[in-house]
Amino acid sequence: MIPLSHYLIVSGILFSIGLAGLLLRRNLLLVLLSVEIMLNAANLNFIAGSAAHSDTGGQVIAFFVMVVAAAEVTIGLAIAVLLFRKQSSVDTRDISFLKG
Amino acid sequence: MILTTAWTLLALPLASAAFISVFLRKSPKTAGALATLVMGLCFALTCSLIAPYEALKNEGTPVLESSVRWLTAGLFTLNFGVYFNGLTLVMLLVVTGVATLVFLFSTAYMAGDPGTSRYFACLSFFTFSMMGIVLSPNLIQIFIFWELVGLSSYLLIGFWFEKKEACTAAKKAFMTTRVGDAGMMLGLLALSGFMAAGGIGSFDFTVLETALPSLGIPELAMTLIALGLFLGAAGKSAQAPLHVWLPDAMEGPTPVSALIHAATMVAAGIFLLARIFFIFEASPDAMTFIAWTGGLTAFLAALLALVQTDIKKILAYSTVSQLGYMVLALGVSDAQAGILHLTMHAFFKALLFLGAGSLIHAFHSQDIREMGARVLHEGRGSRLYLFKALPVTSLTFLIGTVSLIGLPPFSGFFSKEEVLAAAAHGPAFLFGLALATVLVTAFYNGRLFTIVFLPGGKTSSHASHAEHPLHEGSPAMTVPLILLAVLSVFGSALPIHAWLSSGKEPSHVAPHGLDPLALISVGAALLGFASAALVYWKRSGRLRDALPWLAQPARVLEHKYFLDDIYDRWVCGALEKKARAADLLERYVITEWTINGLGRLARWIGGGLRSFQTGVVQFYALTFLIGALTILFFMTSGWRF
Amino acid sequence: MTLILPWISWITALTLLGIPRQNLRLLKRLTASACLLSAAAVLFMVLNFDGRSGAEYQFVTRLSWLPALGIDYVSGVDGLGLTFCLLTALVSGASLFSAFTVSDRLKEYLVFFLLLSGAFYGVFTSMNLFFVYVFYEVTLLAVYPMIAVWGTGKKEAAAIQMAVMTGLGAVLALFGLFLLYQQGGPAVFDLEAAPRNLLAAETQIRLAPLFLIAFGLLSSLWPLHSWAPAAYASAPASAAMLHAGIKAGPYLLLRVAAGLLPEGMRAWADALALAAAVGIVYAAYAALRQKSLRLIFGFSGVSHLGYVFLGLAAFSAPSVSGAVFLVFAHGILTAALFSAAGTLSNRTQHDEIQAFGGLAQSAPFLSAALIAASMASLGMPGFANFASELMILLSTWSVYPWLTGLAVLGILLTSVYLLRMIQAVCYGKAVQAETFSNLRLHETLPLALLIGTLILFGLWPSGLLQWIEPAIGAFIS
Repeated sequence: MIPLSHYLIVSGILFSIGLAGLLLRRNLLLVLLSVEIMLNAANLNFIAGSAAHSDTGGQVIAFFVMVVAAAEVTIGLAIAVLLFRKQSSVDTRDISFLKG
Repeated sequence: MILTTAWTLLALPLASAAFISVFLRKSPKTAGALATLVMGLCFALTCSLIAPYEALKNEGTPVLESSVRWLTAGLFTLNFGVYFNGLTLVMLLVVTGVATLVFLFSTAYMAGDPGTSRYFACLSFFTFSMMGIVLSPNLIQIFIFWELVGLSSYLLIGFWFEKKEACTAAKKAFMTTRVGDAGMMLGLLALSGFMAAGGIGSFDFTVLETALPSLGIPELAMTLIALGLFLGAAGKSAQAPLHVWLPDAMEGPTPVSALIHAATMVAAGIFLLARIFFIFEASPDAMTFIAWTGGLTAFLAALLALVQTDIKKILAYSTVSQLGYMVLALGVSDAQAGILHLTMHAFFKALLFLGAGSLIHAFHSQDIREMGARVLHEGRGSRLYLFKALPVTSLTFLIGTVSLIGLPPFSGFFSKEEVLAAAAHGPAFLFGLALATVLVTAFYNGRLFTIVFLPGGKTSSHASHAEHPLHEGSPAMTVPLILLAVLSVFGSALPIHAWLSSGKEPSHVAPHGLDPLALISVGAALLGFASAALVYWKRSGRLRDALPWLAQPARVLEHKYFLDDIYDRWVCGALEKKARAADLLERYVITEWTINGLGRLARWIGGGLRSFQTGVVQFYALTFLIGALTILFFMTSGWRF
Repeated sequence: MTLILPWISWITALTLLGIPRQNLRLLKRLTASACLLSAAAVLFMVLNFDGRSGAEYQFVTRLSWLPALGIDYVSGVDGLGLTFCLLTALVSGASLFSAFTVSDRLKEYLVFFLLLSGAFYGVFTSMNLFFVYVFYEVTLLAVYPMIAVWGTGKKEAAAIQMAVMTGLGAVLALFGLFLLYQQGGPAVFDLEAAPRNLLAAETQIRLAPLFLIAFGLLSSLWPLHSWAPAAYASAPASAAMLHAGIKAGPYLLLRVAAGLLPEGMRAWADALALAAAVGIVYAAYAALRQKSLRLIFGFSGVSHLGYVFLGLAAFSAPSVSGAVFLVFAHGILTAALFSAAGTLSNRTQHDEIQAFGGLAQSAPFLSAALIAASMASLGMPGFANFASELMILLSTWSVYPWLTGLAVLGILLTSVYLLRMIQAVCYGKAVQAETFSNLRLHETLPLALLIGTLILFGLWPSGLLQWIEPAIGAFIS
């Protein structure tokens, strides 16, 4: 059996990759991609934990996360499309309409 | 019965003033007639009190009082009422008597002036306030009417309010006397402190007089209290250096000057000194100060009269000087002499002012160089033409002048003798000043008389009034002059001393006619008058032209010892400086720096915080991350705030 | 009876909102009836007030409001409250006339006007501190738009400055009320029970300065006063009359600080007295420099309030009674002054005293009223101001002799700037004589009414003191 810690380390690395991408990428679509990576990392974590502790609760939550991810990416992509229509660019640094 | 009359005396002029203000605004003649009649009624009522008072005095209860509660402030009960004793009687006679004559004179003098109703209303209100002072039973009520008299004076000096000089003079009078009033209030408060400590809650004179010794007030405090109260008297009675308002007050109508600034209001200070004499007696230092103030004022003001060319200003300085005599008398503890001189002075000074009014009316000018026997009649050669054209005015003016100088058997002689006799008991220098003042008084009066009435007086070549025949005013103007002249001659026959003495003090001994003091003063007076006549016969009215060797002192006198300039620079200037400082403090330190500064601070902090709102989502995500990590840290590490 | 006082005005205000704005006559009539009704209610209370028990609350009604916190809606008046209600009735009646001269958007203005006067009634009739505070907040709320929208000159700046400063004061007071509640429970808010030494002495001494600063801000105590002259100078006449005339600050100080924290007041009295005395002289000097009529009156108000605070600081029965009496007299006087100033600026469109002149010739009644009011202000006997100032001076001398001396100096300074103002405005050659040719009733009646009141109580101080003294006696036993 693959020890739980391996799963956790992998999901941790995946999460960090996703986080880095979220914070550092300039393309909005890639930011959304990074968010997906983070969510999948969390999912991995939940499944691994569920398998290790024989608790189906983790799998149930994984389904929830998938649904939320789907909804979130839909809206995110819709916003990206609208933004592109407005200013022909999906560079995150150009989106500062709420600057104080 | 006396007390009811006293209350009536207080109420009548007030009612008259109120009635005129409300109903008689458009009927000046009726207003004048009503005011005069009411005043005459008051005089009659006062006279009717003489007999009952003398009866009471013989019975041994010469003091009467009745009052109602007005205000209670803790321990202090302030009452409003009337108080009647010999001093009250004398003052009432003076006030109502002179007032009636002045009112009568005014009906003719002010005829044609658009503000005549307002004039009579204000004058009636003044009489009410003055009688309030005289009839007050306690210190607070005196203060109340003291202020009201100041208000009346303000309204009357500034009567012709379109004239800037009149308004400024009114303001000056009000402010100068207010400084005195502030001193009076401080003295009063200081006294109240000791009264509270001693359990005395009433400011009544009868109560205070008996309680004062038992209060155990330390000497310094007593002197300060007395000086504070004296400051009030000095303000109203135009003692140096608070005398500067009186000459300017001549901007008011001449009858006002006669009544208020010669006979009554300025006498209020002297009256106060006599009324609360027991307070001043308790402090010998204060008495010395009072005496010196009086003596110096008398002398210095007499000198100032030498260089004036406006007849009213001459009389004004003369009043200041004579008031100095009264203050001097009181300062050397002879209250009765002071009051006697007050009474006689009221008669002849009012006479002189009304006479001046008559002259002003005839010549349409206040400058003595434009009045005179010569101006009228070049070439007619009649020596005493003025005496022919204005017989009543001229003769009564002469009588008034002689009484002022102090020649027997006129009434002014007797009162002045008493003052001088009292001064003889004081410091020698003061007595010397008083005598010197006799000389100077005679001199400036001689100057006035020579220039105006004697044909040798040089007159300036102003427009001759040949086409304007001189004539006396109506009887309303001449009758008061005559009556006042009679009083100036025979006034000393009034039993003033008898009324004033309450039987407790040793009866006042009137000086005999032929003692050396009388001879010296009469001699000085005659000398002064004669030398003035000689100097100013056919010479210019200006002192420095007539006596060129006195040019430098004359200049100082003309600038009134530069007192007005000093006041302007040091008092008004200091005031302006402080006001500017307060204004700057207000505008810059408080408003600009502090309040607006706080606003700027808030904006600055907000601006700083604004930099967090970059609008870039990833920055927000970063802060989110940092916050989450911080919370995780605190949750796991166990640190607690 | 006291329950309905604030609500008469507020319900009328609500009604006004529904009336079309062109119907000026109906608007004015409704407002006038509201004011008259309130005044009638006050008159009823005045006539039926039992003078012998002036220390107790009368006409009391109690409604349970928030039982969980122990806060009830209680309304009633004691002698102190009655005096202030009378002041409110007189001043709002007089300012009504000035309010009607507003030309633009009269409807909204009258709504705020009614809100303001109703709120003042609420402050003085509430017997629970919580509601006193609530009503007071409404006054701040109402007066801000009155100045910011309908004012003149630098109105927005003045209004904001006033809102911030008084708001700060209100917030500090709220904080203080929280602390009071925390220390003493709901009983602290109940004015009828009047718990005097409910709180420990140290607590009182710690809490007192908070309230002193808070209420000092509200009532323009030096050095927290700067908002007042500017605000009143820019305010429309009726707003200035109401807000400057009805000084709730001293009332609140008495109820809260003196009523609940007497030890604290005694501890901090010296500081209060010093601030008061300096304020008297400082504001008088500042008034000397002013060229605008209303700024002069504004600073004059700050100066006179110094006497009030001096009396409060001396904290003896006669000095505090005198102080309350002076608040009444000063309120009436300020209303009269601003009413006259309002008439002057309405007719001539400007405010500088140099631009006026010869009013005694062109408008004798107005000039006489202005002179009378100035004489009252500088302490001329015959007016209520003198009687009250005399009470204060006599009773503060034994406690603070030097500061009382400073106060006497203040009287002198007051004379200077007021006489100067009179000379510039009333005397001299008449300027613009035609503009004053016919003074209408609405310009003369309020002046006559207010000055008449001053003379009435000047000659008969007991008329007012019979209510004030028993109430104050209960505070200071």
